[in-house]
Amino acid sequence: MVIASMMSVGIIFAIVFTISWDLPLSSSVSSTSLVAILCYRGLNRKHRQRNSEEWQHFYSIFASHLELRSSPERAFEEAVGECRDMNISTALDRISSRVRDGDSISGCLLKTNYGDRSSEKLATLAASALRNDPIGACETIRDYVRLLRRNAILSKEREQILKEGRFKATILATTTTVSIAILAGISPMLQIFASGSGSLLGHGTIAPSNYLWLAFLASTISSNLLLSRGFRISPVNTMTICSLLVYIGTYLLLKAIF
Amino acid sequence: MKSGPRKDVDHYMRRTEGVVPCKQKSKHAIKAFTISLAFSPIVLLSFLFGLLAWLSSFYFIYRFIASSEKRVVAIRTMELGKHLSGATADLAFSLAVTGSEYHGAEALARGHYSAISDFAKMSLLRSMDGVDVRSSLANSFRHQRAVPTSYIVELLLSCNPKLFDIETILEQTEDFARRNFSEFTRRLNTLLPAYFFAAFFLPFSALILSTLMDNFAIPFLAVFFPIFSSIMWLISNMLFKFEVTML
Repeated sequence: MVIASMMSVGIIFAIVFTISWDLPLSSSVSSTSLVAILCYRGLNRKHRQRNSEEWQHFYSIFASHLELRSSPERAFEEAVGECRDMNISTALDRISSRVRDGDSISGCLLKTNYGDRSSEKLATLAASALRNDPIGACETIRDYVRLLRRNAILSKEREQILKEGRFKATILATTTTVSIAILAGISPMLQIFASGSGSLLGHGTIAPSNYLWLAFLASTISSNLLLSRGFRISPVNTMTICSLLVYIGTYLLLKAIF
Repeated sequence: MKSGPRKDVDHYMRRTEGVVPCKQKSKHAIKAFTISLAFSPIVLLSFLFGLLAWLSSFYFIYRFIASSEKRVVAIRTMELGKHLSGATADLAFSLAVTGSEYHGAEALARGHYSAISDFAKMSLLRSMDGVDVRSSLANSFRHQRAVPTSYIVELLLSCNPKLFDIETILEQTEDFARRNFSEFTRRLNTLLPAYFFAAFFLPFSALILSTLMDNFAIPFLAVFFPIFSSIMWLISNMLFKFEVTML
């Protein structure tokens, strides 16, 4: 994978250099493409937790039926009857039919594939609670569901902290991008000013070409991609796109003015 | 004399507890000395200045290598803090439901709780030699630095039924999680300005320098962009690590 990435970066460098004959631009574009490859490769795909809340809801209903002193099997059937319209109803029907065939509830709960960790844990705990103390199991299941719900609130708070951080970062990234776009836009004038009397090429000096703004655009994209990686979000997001548009807008505005 | 696996376990436990032994320190010193030898030719130019440069390079390299060890320990500590709440709840429920410390340790070992799962695995391994799981697990937690493990230790050693109370567990888990949240916000507030200082200051300096460099501008800019990307990569990596270990 590393060799493939390096090879593709080399190819990008060669293509850009052949087209533009500009060393800074080729170096900037190739390093940005390397960053983009690394960002896409390290993207952490979120585990799906779609049914977790429905399982929690089911177990709280199951715990209530257990509390009414009905047998675990009867309580389970009654709870399944109340959760007919849910996404998990297929899994529930499967467990229910196994129970009717004579399997124990705890065994069936453990055999089911849940797809996410918290549902699996809840099932394991419910199974062992039912095995050890079927009457007291309702309290344990209800407590664990409460804990999971509190954890879900904490997860939302965690997301909120991350969103705040991302918002701060987006504002700062946009400000930085505007400053760099202005600098890249006025850099040809700065070069003329620094070399004196505007005869830059006349003195035989090799000045960076007109592609300099593109090279800095690529480096800005690379820093924004890395910032997105830092916040564990997809490389294509508001932060990157906003900065890209702001950079191009500022540059075009400067071109129109001067 | 200690047997092989036991020696490995002891070394592992010391490493997780953040203790830096003398052997490790001397290893750092040898590494720093070897790298600092690159600065020794300056002695040939000016003896006193060269000696000063060499000694200071040795000192700074040694500090850097030693602190890298501390940084690793700090990251481990943060990661431990992150998983502590889930692990405490899991252990409490396992102990409440089954009453067996083996099942508790097994739940921790299977629970993907990073270092905590490793402690549980180690304790289960030690139990094969006849060591008590409860006390060995409690011992591992007790020696963790800067992590509030007292509740989990109490949970393991005390038979107080109040500890299994859901309200107490919820209070503890929330407390652990909030500590990590505030620590993350603090670190983010330090790291974000550093990131933007680098993101603005480096291209700004490169542009100004390139205007003053005449013939050297093109090779300078060609080298600048990959270096800039690697510096940004380093900072982004730090941010990523904080997030993964704390949130």
